[in-house]
Amino acid sequence: VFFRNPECHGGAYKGCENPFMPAPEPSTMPDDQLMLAYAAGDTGAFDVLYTRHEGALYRFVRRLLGHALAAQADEVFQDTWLRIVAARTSFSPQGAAWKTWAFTIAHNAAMDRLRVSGRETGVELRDDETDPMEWLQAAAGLFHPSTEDVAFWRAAGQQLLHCLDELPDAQRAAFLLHHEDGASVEDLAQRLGLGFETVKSRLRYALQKLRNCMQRYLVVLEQPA
Amino acid sequence: MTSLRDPRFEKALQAAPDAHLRPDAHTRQAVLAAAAAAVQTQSAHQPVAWWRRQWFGGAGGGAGRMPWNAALATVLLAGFVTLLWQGQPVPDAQRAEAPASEAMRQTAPSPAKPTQAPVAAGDAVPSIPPSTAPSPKSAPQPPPQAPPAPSAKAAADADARADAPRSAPRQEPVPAPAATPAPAIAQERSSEAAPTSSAQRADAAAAPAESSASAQASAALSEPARAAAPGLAAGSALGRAAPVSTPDSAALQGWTELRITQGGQTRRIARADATALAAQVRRLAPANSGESAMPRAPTLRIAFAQGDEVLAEFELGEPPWVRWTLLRAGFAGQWAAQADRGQLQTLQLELQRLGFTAR
Repeated sequence: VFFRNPECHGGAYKGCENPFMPAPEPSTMPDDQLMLAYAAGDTGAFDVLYTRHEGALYRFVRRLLGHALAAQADEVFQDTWLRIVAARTSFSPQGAAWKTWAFTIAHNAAMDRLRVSGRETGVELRDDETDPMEWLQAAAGLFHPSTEDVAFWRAAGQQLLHCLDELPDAQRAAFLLHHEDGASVEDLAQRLGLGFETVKSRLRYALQKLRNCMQRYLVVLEQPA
Repeated sequence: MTSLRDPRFEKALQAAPDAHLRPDAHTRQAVLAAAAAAVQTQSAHQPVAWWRRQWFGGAGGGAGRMPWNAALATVLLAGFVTLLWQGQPVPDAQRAEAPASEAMRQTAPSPAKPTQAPVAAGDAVPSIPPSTAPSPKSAPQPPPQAPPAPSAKAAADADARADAPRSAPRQEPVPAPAATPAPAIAQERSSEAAPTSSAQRADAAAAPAESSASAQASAALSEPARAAAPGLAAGSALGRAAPVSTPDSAALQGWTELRITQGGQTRRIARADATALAAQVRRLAPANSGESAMPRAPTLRIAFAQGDEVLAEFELGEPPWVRWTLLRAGFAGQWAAQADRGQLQTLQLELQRLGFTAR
């Protein structure tokens, strides 16, 4: 079936030379075209886009808020998507990729919430989701799992989350954007409106603190097999 | 691109306990609903291009402007067709009416010419050449102006009455002379017209041109002459269709024998044997001609006699012209007409059957 491809609205993109080209399958469309299709009125494209990035964005928001504001993760997550919906017409694929654009929006939403809440960095020694036995073993220094063990990385991840909670918000945000979104330092500087050195400095401080916090796990990883 | 990533931290983040967390289902529904609502609101308030507003009258005003659009399209189409036919004759616009107008041109002037006006008694029917007379089929069918034909009983009564003109239809405007023989012929013709067939009515109706063109001439005619019009109208159509056989009229009523003179010899035939011949002769009723219609001496003379009294004489000459001379008291008169060749042949066949020479 041939019909006007709503994703070809507003510019000449790949595959839009012929406006009456067959519409591609939404599940195979890239993020940018899905967003353009949604901006043209295709709610199905938004559903695909949401399903594709729901977990990553939620995880990013939750980690950026930290354990103290984890209860507000859903609210901030919803606010993030509402901002995306409101800014659908301003999205331009010539700029950043959709994922970068969306993560920036999520970052701004979470930082706004952190700023309003006056978050205090607390020391959370354990998480409810952490296996009590693993925590006990780790606390007693009896935990020497294999580096290939899923439980090890799960415990390392849990520890990393605790370490992230102790980072300042700006450093935590820079670290998460750099590691989860995959943005380069230059991109981070541009997206956050900061200088390159500032972002680089934040990342360095964050890495240094995290390595200190994760020393026990990193030592295991540095041991020869 | 500068990168300060630690792959160990990346792997730890991927394996973290919150890696597979998802938002609450209500949050998901709220986001999707908000996204759909935003798009629907946008489509409802989507701006319409100026040319669409002009053409369709807005997003929902298409139906309101449709009549104006249709009118504009009609005008444009009419203008286009006019441009196409500019300087070109409209094809066949009058073709269907051409025969009628042609017949009108040929028949209408005839009664207006005083030179061709009837000089013979009662011969006022305009001359219509058989070749130019419009056929009933090609002539346009006029509206049914003529009243219904009188019944047979009424026709018989009309035959017996002396005031035949009053019983004759008056709507026939075919001019007829006001001469003395007219009433007799009118009477006879009225009796002939009584059982008028549909073909006769068609013939009479097929001459609207004659009627309209000869309106002035017929205006001067007397009522008896008008009364004779149906019969004369039928006679004027001699070249078109054979009239029905005529019953006895007052002028010929009571004839007992026919006296046929040919080549200087006269032969008498009793009515019982000459009924068919008399009918054929009466078919050759005088129609439309003048004195000059008989340039030569007649080659055949048939006299209707009652005993020793001759009631009427019928003469036939060459070229085929016939002349009637009524001698009966009160019906005296004479007129001539051009005979129809077809009817003449029928008459000659009847004469041959009786032993006469056909010429």
